[in-house]
Amino acid sequence: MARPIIVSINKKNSIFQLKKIERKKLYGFRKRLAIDENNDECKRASLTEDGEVLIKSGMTSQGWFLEEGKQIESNEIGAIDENNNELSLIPSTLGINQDLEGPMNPKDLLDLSVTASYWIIPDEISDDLKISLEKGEIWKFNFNFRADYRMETSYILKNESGYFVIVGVPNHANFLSLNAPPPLEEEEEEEDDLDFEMF
Amino acid sequence: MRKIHISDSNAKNTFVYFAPIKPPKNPLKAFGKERVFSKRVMISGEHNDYENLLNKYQEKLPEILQDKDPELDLEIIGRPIEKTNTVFINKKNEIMKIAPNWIELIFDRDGNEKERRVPEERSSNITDDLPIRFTKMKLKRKDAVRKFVFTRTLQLWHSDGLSFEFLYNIAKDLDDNDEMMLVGAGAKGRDPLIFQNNGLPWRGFLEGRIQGDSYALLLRLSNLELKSLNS
Repeated sequence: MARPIIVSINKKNSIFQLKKIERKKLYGFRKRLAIDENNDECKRASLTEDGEVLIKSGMTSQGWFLEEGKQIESNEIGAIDENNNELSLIPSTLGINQDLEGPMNPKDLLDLSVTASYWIIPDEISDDLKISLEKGEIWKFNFNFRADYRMETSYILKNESGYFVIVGVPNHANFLSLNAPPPLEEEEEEEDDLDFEMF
Repeated sequence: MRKIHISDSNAKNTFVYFAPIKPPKNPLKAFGKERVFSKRVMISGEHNDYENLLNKYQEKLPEILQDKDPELDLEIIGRPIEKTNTVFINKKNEIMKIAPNWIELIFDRDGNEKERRVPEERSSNITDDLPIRFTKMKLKRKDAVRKFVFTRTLQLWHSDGLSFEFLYNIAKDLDDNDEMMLVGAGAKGRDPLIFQNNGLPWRGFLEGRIQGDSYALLLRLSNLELKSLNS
């Protein structure tokens, strides 16, 4: 079991267990299966361009290399920012008290590029936080599920179904004036093929 | 540049550009201050996987693995993989010469298979003759964020003075009322939005923001509700 989320408001702690919310767990899912003329399952594989090697699942692995070709072990890999500054590893926040900031404007949460969402179950909740969340207020705190080179931002909220945390990275849209140039051409992103039954 | 056909509350409609709001980039992986790049490499040969070796050596496999390293194909291991073509293999591990058929398996939320069927084809519906339209469902921002997880955002973009005014007015009306408007596709304007053929269906809520003479009209997309896993 993961360590709990611990947050504090007015120096009073609240402790929550967390469960990740995924579409599969809420709505089920669907999967496409390739079959041959005898209705037996077929597997996807890759063939090298020269046609010499058939690559089946499990025959490859990812390696990390410097530009000149030297291979680097995974445990030697760190991170840099866009200005080439080395970044420090930030520990997980689970089990470590985080101060809540807020109440926040819902626009801040809308501007979050979401990476995960959790249903959280209170082991202990302070009266101040409970009353605020029941009024529909939203609070912000730092969150890293596991150690990472950037700290993520999360928002805690409540609805009729329970308490939730939404995690991500702050983002924003640019405002457009009349003479704004058209958007840049974007490559289309592939989508996962999952079912949708939420309405 | 992709376009979407959209109608406003007065049933005026037009095609406008849209572009995704991309998430901030992850920190770059590095060795010290030097960037590292990932490559896929071969770690075993086609005939050296466990299944093949077991068929070949049967009960002698553990001993042979220890003494002769038959799993290592030194001509292949470490070979970087560049361009490949996708193929399908049958249960005898033979490359299929004809394209496979497809079936769709439906699973419930506990992972139990419920149904097998011919796959449904879903066409994109955002540039149809019928525009995406406002529904009757409006939510205050504070309610929308407590009901749905918005995992993608598209920004709608004008192409001329008329479409600027059209989008600006929608954004202003929504911003003034602190509301988000559910939009829908199809004949009744209730269908979820599908951006590419066989793509995921999304529920889209328009959110507007105004700053002086500039606007941001954002289509917030969700395919996940904030619901407890017990419900």
